[in-house]
Amino acid sequence: MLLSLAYKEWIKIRWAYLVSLAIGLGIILSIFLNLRLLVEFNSLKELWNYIIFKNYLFYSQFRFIPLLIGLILGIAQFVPEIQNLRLKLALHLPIEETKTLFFMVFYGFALLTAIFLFFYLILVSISSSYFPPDITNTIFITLLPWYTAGYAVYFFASVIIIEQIWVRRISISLFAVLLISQFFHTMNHNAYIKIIIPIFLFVILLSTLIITSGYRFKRGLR
Amino acid sequence: MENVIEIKNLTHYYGEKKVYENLNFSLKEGRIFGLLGKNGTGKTTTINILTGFLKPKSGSCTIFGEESYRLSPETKSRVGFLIEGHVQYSFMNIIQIEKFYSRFYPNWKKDIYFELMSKLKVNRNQKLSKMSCGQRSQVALGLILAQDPDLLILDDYSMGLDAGYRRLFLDYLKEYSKTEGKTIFVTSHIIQDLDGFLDDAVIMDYNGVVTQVSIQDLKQSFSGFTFKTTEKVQLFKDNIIVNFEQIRNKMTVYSFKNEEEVKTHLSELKVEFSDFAKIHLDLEDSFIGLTGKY
Repeated sequence: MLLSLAYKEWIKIRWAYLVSLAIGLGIILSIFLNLRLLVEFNSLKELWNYIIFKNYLFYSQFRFIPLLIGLILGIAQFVPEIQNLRLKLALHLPIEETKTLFFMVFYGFALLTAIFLFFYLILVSISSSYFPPDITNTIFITLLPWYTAGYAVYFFASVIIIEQIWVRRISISLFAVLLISQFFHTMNHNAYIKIIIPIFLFVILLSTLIITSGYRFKRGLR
Repeated sequence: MENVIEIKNLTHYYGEKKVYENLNFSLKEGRIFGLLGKNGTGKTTTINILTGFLKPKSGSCTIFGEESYRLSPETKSRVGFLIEGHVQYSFMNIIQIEKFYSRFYPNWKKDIYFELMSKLKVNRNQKLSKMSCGQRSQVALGLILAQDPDLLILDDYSMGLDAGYRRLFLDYLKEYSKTEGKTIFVTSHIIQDLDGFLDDAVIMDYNGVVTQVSIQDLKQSFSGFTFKTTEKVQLFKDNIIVNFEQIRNKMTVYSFKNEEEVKTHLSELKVEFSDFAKIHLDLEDSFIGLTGKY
């Protein structure tokens, strides 16, 4: 049954997913071309110094891409469910309702993880062809706040879209903006290293919020 | 026969606005049951409560003995639900949607679905969102029939359908219900279509249930009478006159009593009448007779 649910989710969001993939690859291509130009006009040593002492991030263009992808995926997955109250179809399937809702969010989370991992590996391979391991090794921890923002916006989108009470929608949206803005205060290497893991775990917990919106949807609270 | 649906003392309000109070009715296994009422009398509210998508203010609503808002997956698989407007996964095509639903239901009847689909003149790769309302209704019906549920809940199946599709929809449902012994609960705003289809009905008005009857009993016991009278006559609803309508000097009276009893009652009320005649009532006439035109 869960495989069947996965099949439905994939048919629903596959185009949005492919568009997200194209956007990400387009930005990474642009990053790569910029880097090649920089390498051509500067010595590698100069560039390394620039990265280490001036906090230059050659992939800073990628900063808001996970956020955008999380938003695209959240909208593509949950807006069709709420149009004509179509979510009733999923909640009437012979599965526990909480299981259905959790699975939908888990599926989106898994797709986000796959695409984020893919982009990370490309950035690592670009970096390792020009820079020493010390620089390449910082990519993961620098990307993590941006990826966390992508997950957060996805979870918030699922909750806000399914929520039927406008006051709650607005309150959750304000909280979402406040939380997500925290991930973009600085672009320094390893800036969030001390706090990112607890924040990441907190964001993962946001996935459970869909149950509260789903419950209110089920009880007909509008 | 077992009660498939039981509604007891159901009361619901939207804020301060009362929808109904102490609604009671039950639905027996194997019957085709209609919930009839004008717009705003609470049909959709009842369907929402019945399908577990609305918590009533008080009272109980059970399906196969389980509270409707806490149906187990096993019971849900016994209930086919058509959402108003034939809502389905419009981003899927005919093949994809069948593949999706078939894995949820152990008694899935693929043949019924594809038999209905073969009547549609559409490409199998065409998305539901690109189909006409009539075609989408056939997809929704095919999916419900293939599910092979014991109870079908159909919320305004007729919405957006032309006469041909409405007839096709009911013909399939009737055949299915009678041959398989299934129970159907249906609402529709086109009552004349349901004549000859329903076994029982609950008729709702703005103050709650007007009556719950078998259609056979309704046709036998509920009558309309016309007569000529003076334009000044004043009638009131009472235990004989269920409803009445006057256009100039022509009066129509509806009653569960026979012709003689109505005549006697009119005489007791000192109402002058002439050209007294009983009129044939179909289901829609009876509905109008019970609830009025306004």
